[in-house]
Amino acid sequence: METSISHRRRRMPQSRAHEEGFTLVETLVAMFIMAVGMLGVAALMGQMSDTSVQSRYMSTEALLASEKLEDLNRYGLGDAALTDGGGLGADVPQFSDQIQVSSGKDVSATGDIVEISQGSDAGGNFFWQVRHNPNGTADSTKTYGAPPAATADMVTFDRRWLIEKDQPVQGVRRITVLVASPAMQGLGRQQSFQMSMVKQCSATPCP
Amino acid sequence: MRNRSITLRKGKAGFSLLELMVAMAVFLVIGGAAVSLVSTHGKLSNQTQGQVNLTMGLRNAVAMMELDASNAGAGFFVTGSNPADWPIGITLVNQPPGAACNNAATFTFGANCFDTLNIITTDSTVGAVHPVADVNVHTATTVQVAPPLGTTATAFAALFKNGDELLWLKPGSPKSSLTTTTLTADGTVAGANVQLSFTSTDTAGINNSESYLITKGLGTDPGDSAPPLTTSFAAATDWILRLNAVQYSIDLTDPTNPKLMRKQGTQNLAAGKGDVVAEQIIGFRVGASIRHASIDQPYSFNVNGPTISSGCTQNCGYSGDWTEIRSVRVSLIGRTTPNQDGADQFRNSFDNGPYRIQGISVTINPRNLSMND
Repeated sequence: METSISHRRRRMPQSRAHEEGFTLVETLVAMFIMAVGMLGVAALMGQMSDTSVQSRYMSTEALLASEKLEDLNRYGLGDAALTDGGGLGADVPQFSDQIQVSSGKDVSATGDIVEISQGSDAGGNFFWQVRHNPNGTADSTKTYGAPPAATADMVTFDRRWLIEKDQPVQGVRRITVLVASPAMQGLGRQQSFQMSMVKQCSATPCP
Repeated sequence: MRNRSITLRKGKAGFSLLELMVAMAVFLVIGGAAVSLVSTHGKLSNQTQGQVNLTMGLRNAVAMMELDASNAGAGFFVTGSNPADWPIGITLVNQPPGAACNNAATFTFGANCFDTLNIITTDSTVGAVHPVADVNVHTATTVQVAPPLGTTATAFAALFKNGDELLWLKPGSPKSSLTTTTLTADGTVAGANVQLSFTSTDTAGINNSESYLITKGLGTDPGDSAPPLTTSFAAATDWILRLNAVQYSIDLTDPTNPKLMRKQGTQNLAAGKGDVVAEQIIGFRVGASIRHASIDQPYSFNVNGPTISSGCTQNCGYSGDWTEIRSVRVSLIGRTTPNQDGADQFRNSFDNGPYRIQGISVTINPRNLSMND
């Protein structure tokens, strides 16, 4: 206490000579420093929310990729569905589909959770829609034709797969699935997830 | 400051009342803001924790089902048996599509909202045994089996309990045939053998007292050959296995908290038994991926619906023909505990409930059944 009193005493004449308070320059400098700091914090928060969105996309991508691998795994060794072909760079018919995942009232008046995947068979292109209704019911519909356009709240994922025979060694097929999200690509973020498995062929080398 | 300098000059060190009040006012404002920030943060952190719990719970449940379902059909392939063109490893109960089953006012769901998934596996400790003599399970109610080498009849008899289900397998070409029976008593010792008493099947080989719908729910897709059921089993060539199936179903004892249960073995099927896998599950649906000849049907949530081979395009089913199931797709919808925080005005966009929801779906391929893959 002693020191503070003596300190105040020393300051007293000075404060009376010049008007008390901070000068404009001091205030501006302080505000500038503060602003820089706040900007940093804001940028950090923005980045955190971006990262969390990105990780949500990635986990959905991983889920969709493993779903497709499991799906392809159910076919027998010589099945036509496992003919080599496809590609990861661009959509190849029969080897790609688009998944639209949504939840919310924009999709339907009831707030259904809808998932649409596409495919094609002897009857032409079709889309498969799985719908979970809040009233507890669920249904699945196969419709020939193009799927309905994605609504604003729908998240779309492009899924492509590549089937190579005698890769990485003779007698097996390598199946690679890539799931990409155009929305994440638009944000300049890492946007794809890729997964592979090998499956034995009915003969060596693969027919 | 001027005041203070005056008081200082008067020799009375300290703050004036005004200064103190200003300081206290500033402190109050800042302190109040801090407290409200902390309490908001507390709520947020609770919500995040609830959401994380929900995600983890759902992932756990899915991982467990993946493990179980990929082992469906374990133990079916005994020496000399040529399994059915596609053996039965998964049976399902689907609720009829379209019929609302919830109470939108109380955010509760009825039993009609949830499916049941049965994963058929056999008990590896028992293994496969031959009947001692030829037996017709439609007319007979008992069978004797010889304990495997190295096991006493007493020890072997103790493995069979009243209520257990037996799978009977008759190797054949191009298909094996099968049926099931339900034990009506514990296994007993009969000389060097073990005697098992069971409910007899009907003339077609359907066991009406079984719990897993293997024969009771088995149907035929039009255009398919008859289901692979039989009633007569030969001593030297045919097999008896003890089932140790796993059932996933929803327990609605507490309607405000539907629980996903895992029940292994017939002894655990009664209400209140089994293990809780996840709580607050408001959607549990199991779709089957069907293949009839070369026609694929990605998912079907309608076991008994019209088949795709009969021209169906919407909500198609497979007439309960378990042999057509290639893989299953499990959809789970979970929620955080409703109204945990009364002040939380959050309503989700799914069913407007006072809770957060999360869905997860996974396709599981029962690898044990893909013998040629």
